[in-house]
Formats: sequence, structure tokens, C-alpha cells
Amino acid sequence: MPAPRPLGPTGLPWPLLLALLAWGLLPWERGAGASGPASGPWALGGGLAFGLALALALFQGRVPPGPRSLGRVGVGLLQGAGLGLFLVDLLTAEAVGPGQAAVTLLALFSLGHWLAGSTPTRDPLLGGLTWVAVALVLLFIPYPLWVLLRTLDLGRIPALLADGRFLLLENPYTPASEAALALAVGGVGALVGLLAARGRRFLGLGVGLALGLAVGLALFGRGALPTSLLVAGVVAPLATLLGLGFALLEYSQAPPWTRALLRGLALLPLISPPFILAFALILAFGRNGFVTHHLLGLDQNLLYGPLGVILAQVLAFTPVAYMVIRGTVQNLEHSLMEAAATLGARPWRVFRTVTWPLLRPGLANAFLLTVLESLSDFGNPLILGGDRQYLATEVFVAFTGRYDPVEASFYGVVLLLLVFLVFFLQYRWLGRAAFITATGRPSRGGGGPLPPGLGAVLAGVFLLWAVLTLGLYGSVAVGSLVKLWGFDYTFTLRHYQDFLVLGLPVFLNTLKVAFYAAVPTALLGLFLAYVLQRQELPGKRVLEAMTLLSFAMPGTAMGVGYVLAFNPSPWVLTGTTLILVLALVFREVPVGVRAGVAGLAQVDRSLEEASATLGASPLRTLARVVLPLLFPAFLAGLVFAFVRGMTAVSQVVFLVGPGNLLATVLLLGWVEQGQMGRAAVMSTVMVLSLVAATLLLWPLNRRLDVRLGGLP
Amino acid sequence: MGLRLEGVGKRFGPVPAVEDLSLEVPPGAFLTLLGPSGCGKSTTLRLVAGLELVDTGRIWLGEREITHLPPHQRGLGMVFQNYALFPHMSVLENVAYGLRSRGLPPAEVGLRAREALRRVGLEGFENRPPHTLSGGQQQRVALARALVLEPPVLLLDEPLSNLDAQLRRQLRVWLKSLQGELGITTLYVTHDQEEALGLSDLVAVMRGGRLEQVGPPEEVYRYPRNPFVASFMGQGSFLEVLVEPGAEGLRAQLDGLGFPVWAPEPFTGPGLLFLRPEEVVLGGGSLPGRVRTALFLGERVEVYLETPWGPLLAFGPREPRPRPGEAVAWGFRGGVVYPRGAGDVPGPA
Repeated sequence: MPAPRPLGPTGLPWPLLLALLAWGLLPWERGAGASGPASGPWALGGGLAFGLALALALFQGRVPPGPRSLGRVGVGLLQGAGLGLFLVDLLTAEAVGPGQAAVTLLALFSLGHWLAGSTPTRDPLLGGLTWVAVALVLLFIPYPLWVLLRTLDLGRIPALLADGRFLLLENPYTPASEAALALAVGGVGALVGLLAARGRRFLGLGVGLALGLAVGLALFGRGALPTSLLVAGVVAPLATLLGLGFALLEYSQAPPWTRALLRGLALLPLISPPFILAFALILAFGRNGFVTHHLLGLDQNLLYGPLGVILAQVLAFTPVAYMVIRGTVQNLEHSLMEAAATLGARPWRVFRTVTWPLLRPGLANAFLLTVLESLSDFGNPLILGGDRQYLATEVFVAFTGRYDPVEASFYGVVLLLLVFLVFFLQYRWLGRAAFITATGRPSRGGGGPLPPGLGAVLAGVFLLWAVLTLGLYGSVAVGSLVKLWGFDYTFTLRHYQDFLVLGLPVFLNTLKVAFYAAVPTALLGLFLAYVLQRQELPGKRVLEAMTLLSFAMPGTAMGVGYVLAFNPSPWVLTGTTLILVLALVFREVPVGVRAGVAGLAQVDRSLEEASATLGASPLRTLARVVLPLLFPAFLAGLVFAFVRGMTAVSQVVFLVGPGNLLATVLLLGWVEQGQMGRAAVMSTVMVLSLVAATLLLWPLNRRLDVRLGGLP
Repeated sequence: MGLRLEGVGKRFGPVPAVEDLSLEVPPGAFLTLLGPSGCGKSTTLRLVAGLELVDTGRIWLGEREITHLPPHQRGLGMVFQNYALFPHMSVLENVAYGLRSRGLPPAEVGLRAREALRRVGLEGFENRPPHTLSGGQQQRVALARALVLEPPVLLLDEPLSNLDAQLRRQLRVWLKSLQGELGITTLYVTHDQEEALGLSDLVAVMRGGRLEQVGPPEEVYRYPRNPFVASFMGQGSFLEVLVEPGAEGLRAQLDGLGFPVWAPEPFTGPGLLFLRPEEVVLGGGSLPGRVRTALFLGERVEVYLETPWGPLLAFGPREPRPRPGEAVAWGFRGGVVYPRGAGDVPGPA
């Protein structure tokens, strides 16, 4: 029988001492020229030290002395050394000095091990792993953002604010002064305000002027801020409304085929790179578009500008809104509507007084989420932006076009501020007051029949949307098989032959990177979910907020942050596979966390407690009870991390290097250069492979909807 | 092996869940922790299991202190309210889980797990997934899973509360006889006083994280130490009376008559007289009362009376059924008095 262990940190933190010793001995930077000999014996030494510490940490005070325990320590030592060597090898191959990496991880691990003495499970290994995970999250989520903030030169802010690209793009070639037009609208607003507010004239005047100016700026200002706000301000309500309509349609008494079509079509934009829609819109409605030019004989350029971006984003983000609202509609307690009806309310009155108030939190969530998506969207504005600027693309253009990190960080920070504003609004509007239909026994969800007339209208709108989406995706597929879209529609396989040479290596590289990223994303996500749900950890809420932060941050801002943070010595990571994988992992880790949290919610805590009372150690409980039960969640997290890794563009566009290109970035380049045939092939291949990957999850279809619907 | 708690305390944030609780379960005894929800009984059980860590105090298993051991090193058997059967394992694998965790050879694991299943009468269910079993069967699997490790102490957290009334009765009998057969020290948590009375060698009544009274069921039932214990254990009514000293012990004054009563701490003056319904004799005395309502409950009839001292519950004859408004004379034997105004005054039963 082991002796009772006192509460609190256990004994001397000897692994920490060992780590400090190694800290002083091992080299810091990679490469032979850096301070200290980097590879070879040093790597081996670092690995062995790490392994030894791990092995000792694993078995300290848990095995009674004897030949058997010696054997176990030996096995642990081998495992630890193997793991340590692998880590060191991985890191020396491309990046950080082996000493730095090994020692940092070791120090963290031992710190966690030491502190784990005061947690209820008191398992050193879990404690150590937790601290390593926390450190990684800190390093790869808030740290780049902090570097981004630090890069911003306060002295340059006035100049940047006044810059035409930010607010009003005035130049001699514009037909009319944007400022004048905005002022004119402001004047009209002031007049209307004055007339409308009879009693309090000054208030009416002020409000009218402010509103008028805002509208005028958004309409006529071609700078990044007004344009991005204009687009988000139009896209969010439209997408939310459409999403609501589709969700209601799904749960009303619509024919079953509508449902299947709805879910299939909603999934398509969610799992394909969002800017494929912009590309497809060019094929259909561009200057040489099939519909506008070929069928209607128009010669116009309307698509390039806010109109096109709005159209592409509404098509791309309606499914996002639909998925969020769908969750709310699903949870509607049908009996509430029935109760209202038995109390004598007519269908429209039931909808207005019961259904609508219950839906409102979901709608607000969907609205804010689409605002975020629209503000952060990078691909669609880049392709369809026309003569206006957009915040997300301006980050990229400032950084890679004008080589101005300060300006890039300025736009990044503006984006971040807007995102925080959205979160603030969400907090103010929703707070903790989200409705839960609290009744005893769950009845069938979904609101029941729609008021007469509404169903027909919704079905009509949906049909239109379905035809448009299908047509757009279809035109991409067709575009990959014709000679030159817009001029020569004869069948050819030439683009596919080109693809084999130019596109396939990049596509395969993307598969590789996405897969590399998917496994750690799902694992780390599960582990963090486990820590957040089941472990006592000081600052748990902060950790949770941070993992969500990375998901909500505009990708371009995060991308600049990564370059600024990890390009300088000692990291020098830009262009490596490692940084691409890391960027994807920490961008998608909220998906893994969500999957894990949802999975853990299904696993009653008493199962773990039962396992413990039956004599299983915490690690055994994790391996034998928690992980097997979480396998579906793990699988879902894996596939979604993979899909999102394949389609990510805004962040990785900063991080790709020569010889390490990603499919989305290449595709974006081809669309911009007008290589429509090649782009169509790449899009088709990507969409087909992503659909195939998602179909792997078909048996888990229900969970899948929950994941998507539950994203922040 | 016996179990001893010494001054155990536990807080969740600012809220004390258990305060300065000392308790001893003698070897082989069946002790029930009884109390309303939120009284800290489940927390006490979880502290013993090691699922929560104590803030203060110590826990002893026989001569060994287990206060700071993690749950998997305590070697206690526990059965959960929701059974907590592993859904991804078969019935046999569930029962074998603890044996495997101990690293026993597979042949022995199989043998002992099957034997444990036989013992709870579930041969032939080995390969079924747990969710295909009925609630009572799942409960027995959970019990087999805990007992197969031959733990020194068995912890049961409201194990019968998810079953319907009929099954609960059957399992209660079965559980009691099994525990007697094995002679295993048992700590049982429930809010059902009937269960507590029927199963236990010792009952510990808890309220607000504190122990109110510990003793054999008969003692706690007959001589509740305070109004809370009185009202929580079984039924009864509180009448407002005057208590004065008599020739042999105390007397309660009703209608000019003095009735001999018992008090945990002797006092005189205004008091509350606690009467169990079976102590009230309808038509067997001279005290005035009027029937408010009478409920026919099968084996007995509950009669609710209005009296000058407050509402009173009694058991009445089936025939003739007392009718509302009817005047009844009544008397009583026994009864416990508590000083009025001291401590909580529970509402009439």
C-alpha cells in the first residue's frame, strides 16, 4: 500500500532542476553557425534528458521498488527518449534550437508535474501535459496578436487614418468628391432628422446628421473601413434572413426532398474555399460571363465592386447563418406553439408572440457571426473588390505589396477592434439571457407548421437560391472542361493536363499539410476540451476564451501576426511546413475543442469516477473510458480540421513559401491572373475531394450538424 | 473493515457542503446517510470515495488513513445513482474492468467476473451491452462490478432512486440480504426515509452539511433529537402545548389534562408536541377534534383533524370512514416535546 501523499506540491521539483541544468548546457539556436553546436550529440543529449525526465516523472513514487518496477522505468525511459529525440529531430530539421525546445517543454512539464500534487486527480502526467498544452496555446494564439499590436507605430496613426485607402479614396480621377457626396447625404439626413423630430430639434439634427454621414460614407467612401462596413452591413441581415427562412422551411412540413437538398446544398459552401463562389460568379456574371454576356448580350462590369462581393458573401455565408439558426429552431419546444394555439392565438400571432422571441437569440448569434465572417473574408474581396478597398485585403496588400508592416498591423488592429466590438455587442444583447425552453420532457422540436403563405414564399426563395448555387458550382465544373470560358466553349481536357504538372504537386502538398494539421488539431482539441471540462485549472475561462479567440480573429490579422512573431530569429519559420501546420492547428483548434466539449457532454462524469473507484489510474481512465467514448467526436474534429485546413486561405497566404505552396493560394493567384480553365480544374478537384472527405462522416451526420451549428 | 471520519469539512467556493462531520461505521455495519437534497450526504460519500478532496479533517479505513489518497488507490467499491456502466463495454467487460486495472491474469479475471455476475443472478447476460438491460438489471451489474473487487467498504449513492416503486421494494430486500451474507461494511446515501429505516443498522440524519443524529433506526424514529429529525423520519404532527414537570418526567398540558411525554432535553414552558399518527387513538380519549379530510390509502386511512392545538394526522378505521366536519374525540400515548421557538419549527405534517 502506498503511503498517503500530503496535499500540495509533491516533494522537490527535481525535473525542473534538471531542466534548468539542461537550459544552461544546450544550444539555443538552430544551425551549426548559431551559438553552440546544434545537432548530433547535443540533440541526442537533449532527447535523452527529456526522456529521462519524462520517465521519472511518469513513475515517481508510483511503483514499489523491485525488478518489475525497474522494467517499467526502463520502458518509460525508452519511450520518453524516443519521443524526446523525435521532437528534437523535428525541431532541428527546420527551426528552433533543440536545447530551447526540449528544455522549455521539459520545464513546463515538470512544473505541471510538480503542481499537479494539488489537483483532485493528482496525476503528474496529466498535470504536465496540461501545462504544455497551455503554453502552446499561449505561444501560438495571443502571442502573435501581441506582436501585431506592438508593431503598430502610434505616431503614424493620424497619417494612416487620413490615408485615402482607409476612409475616402479621393483623387483627381474620381468623377465626384467622395467627401462631398458623403456630406450631401449627411445634410439630407440632418434635414430629415430636423423635420422628423418635432420637439427636440437639436437631437433630431444630430442623429440625422450622424446617420446620414455614416450612410453617405458607406455608400460613397471607397476606403477600406466604409466599404467593409457597407458589405458586412448588407450581407449579415440578408444571410441571417435567408438562414432563418431555410431553417424554418426545414422544420416545417416541407416535402422530404427539400430537406435533403437543403442540407446538401448548405454543406457545399461550408466545405469549399469560400472564394470559389466569387470565381463562379465571374464565370456566370462577369464581363464575359455566360449569363450576362453570352445569354443576355450585356457588356457590363457591375460585378466588380461591393455588389459582387456582397453577392458572393451572401451565397457563401447563408449556410453559416442557417446552421446556427437551425440549432435554435431544432430546440423550439413544439408544445409551446400548441399551448399558444389552444389559448386562442391565430398562426401569425403565435409566430409573432412565441416563435419569434424564442428565435431571437439564435438570430442575433447568426447575425454577429456573419458580420465577423464578412469582415474577415479575404478571397472574395480580393477577386471581386473592384476599385474599392477592404480591411482584410488591405492587411495583405500593405504587407506584401507595399512592404509596410506598420500599415499592415494598423489594418489588422482595426479589424481586431471591430471583432471585439461585435463580441461586446453579442455580450450586451445576449449576455447570459439566452432562452432555454425549460420544460420537463423534450418533445419533438422545430416550431411546427408555418403560417399560411410564408411556407410558399420560403420554398420559392429556397428554390431560387438552390438553382443559383448549383448553377454556380456547375459552371465551375463545366469551366474546367472548355477551352476558353467566354469565348470558346469547345470541350477539352487540356486544363486537366496542365493541372497534372502545375497543380497536382501543390494539391498533394496541401493534402499533406492539412492532414499533418488535422491530427494534432483533433488531439489537442480533445485534450483542451477535457481540461476545460473536467480539470480544475486556475484561469480556465481565460484559456477557453483564448482558444475561441483564434477562431474569431480575422485570418489576415493572425497571418501578419504569425509572420511578425515567428519570422525573426530564433524562429525563422516562414515558408516552412512547420509554421503552416502550426498556423492551421491553432486556427482550427476551436473546432477540435467544440467537438471534444460536445463529445464530453455525452460522457457522464460518473463514468470516470466509477473507473477511478474501480482502481484505474487517471491515465488509464482517459485511455479506456474517455477516449473510446470520444472517438466519434475525435473523428468529427479530425475531418473538420482537415476540411478547414484544405480551404484555409487568409492566414496561410502570408506563410507559404516557394516550394511550399498551398492549393487555395495557388487558386487565388490563378483567378487573379485570369487563368480560368486551370482555376476551374483546381476548384473542381478541391470541391470533389472535400465532399468525399466529408462523406466519410456520413454515419456521424447528426453530430456534424451540431458541430457546425455550435461554432461561435 | 471499519470506516471513520474525523471532523471532515468541505466547501465549494464560499458554500460549506459538509461541516465538521465525525462519523464511525463499525466493521460489517450498514450505515445510511439520510437527509433532504443538498444536505451534504452525497458530498460526504464522495469525500470517502476520494472523488472530492477534504478541506479539513481525516478519513480512516480501519487503521489506515486514506484522507489524501486518490480514488483509484483507495480500493473502495462504489455504486452510482445512474449506475455509470461503461456503454462501450459488454456487461462482462464492465464487471472485469476493475480486475483488469489491477493487472490480474485474464483467466482469473474471466472466472471472477462470471462468478460475480452469477452471484447477482445475471448469468447469460455476459455479452449484452448494458443499455439493453432493464434498470434493475443494470443496477445489479453495477453492484457486481463493485463487489467483484472484494472492497473493504461498499459505497452506494442513492442506488434505487431511478427505479419504479415496485422494483425498489424487491431490490431493497435483495440488497439487504446480500449485504448480510457478505458482511461488508456499507455506507448508503438516500433521501428516502423508508429505505433508510428498512436497510440500515445505523441511520445518520444530515442537514445543511451537519450531522443531526446518528443511531439505530428504531432509536432515531422513536426518539428524534430535534423537530427536524422528527419530521424528516416518517410522518407526524406538531401541536402547540404547555410543558410542565410531572411526578415521573415531563407532562404536556392539553385540555386541562397532563400527558406523560419524553423530551431529549428536559424543559418547561411552551413546547411543541410531536405525535406520530400511529400514536394517536381516534375515539380513544376525550380531546376534541374535527375531521378536515380523510384519505383512503389501501391498507390504512389517513385522517386529518383540526384540533385547538393545531392540525393533527391520525390513522383511522376503514369502516365507518370518518367524514369531513365530523367531531371526533381522541387521545394518544407516547409523544416527544421540544421547546417552542428553539430552532426551526417545521410546518404541520
